Amino acid sequence: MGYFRSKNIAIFLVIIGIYFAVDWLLEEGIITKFQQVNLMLLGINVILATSLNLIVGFTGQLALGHAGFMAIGAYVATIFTVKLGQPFALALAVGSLAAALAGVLIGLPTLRLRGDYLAIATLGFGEIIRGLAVNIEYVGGAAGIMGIPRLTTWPWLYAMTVLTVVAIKNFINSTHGRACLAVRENEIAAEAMGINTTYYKVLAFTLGAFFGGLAGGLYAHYFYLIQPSTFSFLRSFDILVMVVLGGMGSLTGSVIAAAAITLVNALLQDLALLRMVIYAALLVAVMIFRPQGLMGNKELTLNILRPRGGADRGIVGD
Amino acid sequence: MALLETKDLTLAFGGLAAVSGVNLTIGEGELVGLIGPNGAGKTTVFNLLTGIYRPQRGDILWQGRSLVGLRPFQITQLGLARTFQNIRLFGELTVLDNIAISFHWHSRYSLLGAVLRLPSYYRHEGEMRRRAEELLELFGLKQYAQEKAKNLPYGEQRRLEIARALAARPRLLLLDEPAAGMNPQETQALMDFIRWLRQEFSLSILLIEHDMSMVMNLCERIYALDYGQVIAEGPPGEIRRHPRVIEAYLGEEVALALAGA
Repeated sequence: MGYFRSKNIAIFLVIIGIYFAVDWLLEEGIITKFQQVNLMLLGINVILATSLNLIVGFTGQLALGHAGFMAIGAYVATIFTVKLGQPFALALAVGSLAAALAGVLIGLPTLRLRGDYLAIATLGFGEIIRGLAVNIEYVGGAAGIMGIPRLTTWPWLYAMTVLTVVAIKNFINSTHGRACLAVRENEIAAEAMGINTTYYKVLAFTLGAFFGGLAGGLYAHYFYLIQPSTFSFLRSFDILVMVVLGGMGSLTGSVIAAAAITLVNALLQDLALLRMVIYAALLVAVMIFRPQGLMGNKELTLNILRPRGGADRGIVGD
Repeated sequence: MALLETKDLTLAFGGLAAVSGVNLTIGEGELVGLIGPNGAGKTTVFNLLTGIYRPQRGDILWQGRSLVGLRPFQITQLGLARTFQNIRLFGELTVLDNIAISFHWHSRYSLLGAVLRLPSYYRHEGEMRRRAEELLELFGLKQYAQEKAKNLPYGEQRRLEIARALAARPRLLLLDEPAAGMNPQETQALMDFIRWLRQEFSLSILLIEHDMSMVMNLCERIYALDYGQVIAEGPPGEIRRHPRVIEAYLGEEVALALAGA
């Protein structure tokens, strides 16, 4: 047990390897401008999908306001860089923390609600954030903020994406993550086993919001421009689609689905209107043939290479 | 001082008095039964004791301290753990994780320790795993450790629920119809198991059960409940002959038998 197990070293080497491989491809110009945009979008979508999965898939709270947290992160980070001239790292951190704070404030009252009621309440929250952005002149109103410096580079994006996935994975595979899973499985039993369910629901919501805000900050500093309409409820649904498609409660599923949806969107770009039809048809097909999502609630791990006794892997002491 | 004491415990749902004026006492190390016909309010009493419902009148004293107004998880942390009449396991999680979740509230590493995988994480996680496996071994469930809880046979699910409750380290264990759906042999085995549990973990136990022979053989003291009120209290021999119990509970069966049902 410890940091330096062969499995951890292998994963570390793969992560480093991917970084330098992509970095080299960018340097050599093998990755085109168009592909580069999609690469950035892919990383941002991975952060969004895994952080929403923490709330929806692992803790079982159907929340539809993720774009709201993304918006808070984007606007706050942009204010820090553009208006206040602060460094990017600080802007990202403050943006994420602001989103996390919003997560606590929204979570405390709304997480008493269950299922569809919570979905409606969080949907409303997302729209309120968007409405606020439209009506605050300081952040440009409906026109948004333009001319944001492009500070989200490949190293930043990659580091933040890896950080998010590893942090969420470590959280889930701990006693705190198990408490969240218990809430999802049976709230009454979780409470009866000594778990403060309110605390863990709000905690999951807050962590999810934090990373949603991080994704927003990265997004704003790549695409030059943020507008309230960028963060409409349609984006919340997009993120939810990734979570459901990948499998609720599968982190690797979210990563795969976020990558797949980004790629499909990019590949179908030329088809214009037909794109949405094919995209929708693909989603319907997946939901018919794999209603539990691509990965169900299983994880893709290195253990897959080893034969196991057919039973599902536990998460204790992983 | 009694371990647990209720005074004039009362709860009504709308106009229906589910529990009214119930006084229970459970001493250290006692094995007490709670019986009564369907709808008598037994499970409601459990839900009141564990904080799922809040009494409208009366008090619940745990070693002299009132439990009224505490959340269920706080009551568990004081030393009351329960099982459920309709099994409530964490179905999609492994048997081992089901146990580990009950260890949660005495886990000793922080959120930061978990996310950064500090040495405390590895140390305590290993310790929790070892203790969970010990408990499963003791309950004869070790071979299922990596199985999803929902895939266990019914009897094993009941046993896992008791194991999970014990993992929360209670001093008083509340068992809600542990023998439901069991045949006589299984019930017999369960009785031996409950006796052994009490010794092994030095527990007090409050038991709801429909199986009369089980309650009569197992419990030292029995409370009989009907329409939310305690109609009799005493050792099994007395309860068996108590006219109001026969009328309310056993009489019902006799009446049905006579009617040819």
